[in-house]
Amino acid sequence: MDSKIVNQFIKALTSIFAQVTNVSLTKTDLEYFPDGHKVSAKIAAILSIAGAFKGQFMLILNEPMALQLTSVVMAGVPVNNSSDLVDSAVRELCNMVAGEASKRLLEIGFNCDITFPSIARGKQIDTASPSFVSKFECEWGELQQILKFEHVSQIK
Amino acid sequence: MSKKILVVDDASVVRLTLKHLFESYHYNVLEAETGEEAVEKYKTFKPDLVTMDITMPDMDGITAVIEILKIDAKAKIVMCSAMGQSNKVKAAITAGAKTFIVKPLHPERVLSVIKKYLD
Repeated sequence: MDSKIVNQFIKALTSIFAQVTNVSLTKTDLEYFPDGHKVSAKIAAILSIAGAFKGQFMLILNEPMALQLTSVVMAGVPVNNSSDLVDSAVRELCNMVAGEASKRLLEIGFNCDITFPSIARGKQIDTASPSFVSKFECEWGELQQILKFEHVSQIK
Repeated sequence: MSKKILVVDDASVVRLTLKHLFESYHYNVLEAETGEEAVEKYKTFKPDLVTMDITMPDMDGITAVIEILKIDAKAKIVMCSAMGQSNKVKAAITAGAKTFIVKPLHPERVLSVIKKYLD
């Protein structure tokens, strides 16, 4: 169950990121942390998942990547400072990735619902539950995706 | 007189992008951030078409579709959402939406759908 689920989120991120930005992401690492994972996040978009499994999905990126992303979404308008618009672009990317992953999960029999994402800035995030951490890189820098499962019984 | 579009999405970046796109084609655009705000603005703005997100705070997009259709049974509502699961699409169409565009939104696709229902 776990690898099937994690793979849908990885495929969703690489596909949506490429569609939105026209930039390819390369997965550089995938690690499982049974007791949770701590990470310092410049910007994190976080949403909850319910249904076939309960957990959270997080996208973690740095400021320059968030500014680049916003600029591309805004049809190339230069974006030099953090603003509500930047948070909105990161939140929307997270929403689209989780939406695409949910669509793929339903196709293989897992019906999930997602909440709308919130943004955390400059925080130490401690998932404190079994978590899969995937790392990616592209010409803009690095990006992390965390899939946290609420209960260890959901990991097989 | 230019046609009116109500853009409903909790993400400001999406509202701004769609507003710029529609205004560049001379549509008159008003924005709403939640389903509840959309229902209120529909009454006064009386748009020719609504683009509607699904996942929003307060009132979600599918409930907003139902509420708007109670006000105007002929309302033209196009869902624009990242929630592309078949059950969500079916729920939106059953609620009365004309069609469903899955995000990310591509300008050409959005315009072609909008024009189909406005022209």
